[in-house]
Amino acid sequence: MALGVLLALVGLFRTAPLPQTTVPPGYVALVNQKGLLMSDFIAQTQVETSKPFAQTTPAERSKVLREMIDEELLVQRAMVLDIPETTNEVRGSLVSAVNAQVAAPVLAYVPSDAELRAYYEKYRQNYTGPGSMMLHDLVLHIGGFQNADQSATQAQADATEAVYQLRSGASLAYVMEHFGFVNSGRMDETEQLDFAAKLHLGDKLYAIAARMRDGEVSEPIQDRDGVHILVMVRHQFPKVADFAAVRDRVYLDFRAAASSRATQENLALLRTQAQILIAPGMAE
Amino acid sequence: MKSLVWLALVWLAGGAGAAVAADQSVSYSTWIVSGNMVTLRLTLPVREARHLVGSSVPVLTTDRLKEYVLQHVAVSSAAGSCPAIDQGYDLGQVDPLAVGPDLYGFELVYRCPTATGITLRDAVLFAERPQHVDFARIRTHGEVHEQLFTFSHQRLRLPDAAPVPEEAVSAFVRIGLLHAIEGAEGWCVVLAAVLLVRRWRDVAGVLIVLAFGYLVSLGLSASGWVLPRLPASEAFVGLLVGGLGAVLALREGPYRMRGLLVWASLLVLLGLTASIVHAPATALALLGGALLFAGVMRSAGAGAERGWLVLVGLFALLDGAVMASVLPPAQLSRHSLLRVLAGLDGGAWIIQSLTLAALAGLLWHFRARFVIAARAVLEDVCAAVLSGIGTFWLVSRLWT
Repeated sequence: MALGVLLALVGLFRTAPLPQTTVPPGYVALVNQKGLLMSDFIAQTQVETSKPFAQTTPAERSKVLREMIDEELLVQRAMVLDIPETTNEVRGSLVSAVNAQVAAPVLAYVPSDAELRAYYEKYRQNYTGPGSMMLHDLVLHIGGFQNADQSATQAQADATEAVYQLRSGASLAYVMEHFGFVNSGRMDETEQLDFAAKLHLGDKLYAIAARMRDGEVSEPIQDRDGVHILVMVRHQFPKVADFAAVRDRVYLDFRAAASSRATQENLALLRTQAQILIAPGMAE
Repeated sequence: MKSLVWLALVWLAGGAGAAVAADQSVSYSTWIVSGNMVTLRLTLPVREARHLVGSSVPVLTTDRLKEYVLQHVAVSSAAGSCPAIDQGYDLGQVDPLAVGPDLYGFELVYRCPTATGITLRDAVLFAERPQHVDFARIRTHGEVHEQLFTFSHQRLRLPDAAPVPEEAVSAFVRIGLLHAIEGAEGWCVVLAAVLLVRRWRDVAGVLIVLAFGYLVSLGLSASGWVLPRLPASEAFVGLLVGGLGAVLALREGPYRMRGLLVWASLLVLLGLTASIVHAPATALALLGGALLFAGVMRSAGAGAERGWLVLVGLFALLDGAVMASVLPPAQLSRHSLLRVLAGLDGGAWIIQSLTLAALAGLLWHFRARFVIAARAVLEDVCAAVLSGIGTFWLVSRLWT
């Protein structure tokens, strides 16, 4: 009978987690049973006093410990108030911290030159130097006050003839005067970097200019303000930089890509473990 | 005999409602009074919250509970009522807290026009569950004392220049009394004891064993060393009730050995099932129960008539432990915990002792006027019902 009572009691009761009444080794304090690490305390003291820990005074250490306990109390209070769930800034910090933690092992790996070079070869379009161009942009306006008689068909025919004459060696001034072309004003007759030329010319004209070589004359291009002819004076095409010249950039990009990959893998794992319900009519 | 069987079955069906042990409806609150500001932290077990708002979706439960809490707690002062202040951001007047997986927590801050004549009002759950108890910790003038909010005590006027007095032990005794009155298990144990005792000395023995069980429970709970495994403990109480019924039925009959084998086999079978479903502690408890039951029956057969007292003592121990299991979230100091436990256990013991003594006295008084056969029939019916209900509780509570 006694054995039965004993077995029953063992099965019916479990040991309760006893509160810690002394600070365990390796910790500097316990705040509501939550430990503050001695190593953190030493590091924090050194940072705050800019001295080796052994050279800090008891007063300095007390001040740092007090600050750490205050911080722990506030963090615990924040957890009770569920601030990580409700405050955007904290959520952002948490997301960054988790991503950094996930990426840490990846970032600790130092890639070899061969790996960097392979990455460079794969994404060499990211390492091109900017090109530049200098060109004339002529336009034959249609339907304006000064050219009310000019129809689109007539303008297109004139532009085709002008292109023919330019390609045959006629001077720019002659063609402009003879057919009524004017400078569009989009390019200021100076050499401009590609991005600036794209900005000034607009997407439609830039797409054609980007393929033109020195001295080349474009076909007539119909745009919103009339018929354009592009005359390329000088075109410096974008050039891929040497690996040696951009090695530092390649290294940083390699790490950023690895970090991003780790984050995505972590998210994929979390999604497989999560139950996500989306309201009807909504989609990710 | 057929009518007796039907009677027993009807009683058994009536006990089905108690498949789950009568849960103690409790909540916990902390009131911090600082000048004219009063901060309230209210904690509700998930079970109570769901009972209140009828939703199992945490988000909906939290929203509805915020509104409910705002309407059912209040603070007033000598200069009028104290409004709950808006806590900024998009929190409103009630800030939901993260206080653990089985609890809902809320924080409200009241600003009173004056710091005098402050009165706290807590009406949470009393309309829905009159037996509800809120364990309140009130901090005023640098001291913390425990108070109870109950159906009949929903307001508390705070002294202006002194801390709140401690709640009287009698309030906890009252809760213990109510627990014993509302608990069907206690009545079953008392009934079995009434039928098993033969003389006043036996009654005294039962009272001593009950007191011993509650004292051990008090010691264990106050020490904080162990906690009861709740579903298993509540199921084991069913085993004890069933065991007492079996002792009552079989102690003098010719089928003692057969009954012993059947009951012990049932317990071993349940234990094996529990171990298969990865509940080794429950399996151990059931194995212990089987050995205990066998021991009690053997002792009855060997002429030791009081072996069943062990079952009564174990009941008291488990009853006390189950009552104490609701107290940890109240975060009572050791001194307060002892007072509360003494009150709860004392209240339960008092009601069981008085009932036992009264029933035993009545039974012996009427025994002289009725034929012996009437008592035998009564014992048989009660034994069947206790065995049935106890077995039912044991099995149903094991798998809830």
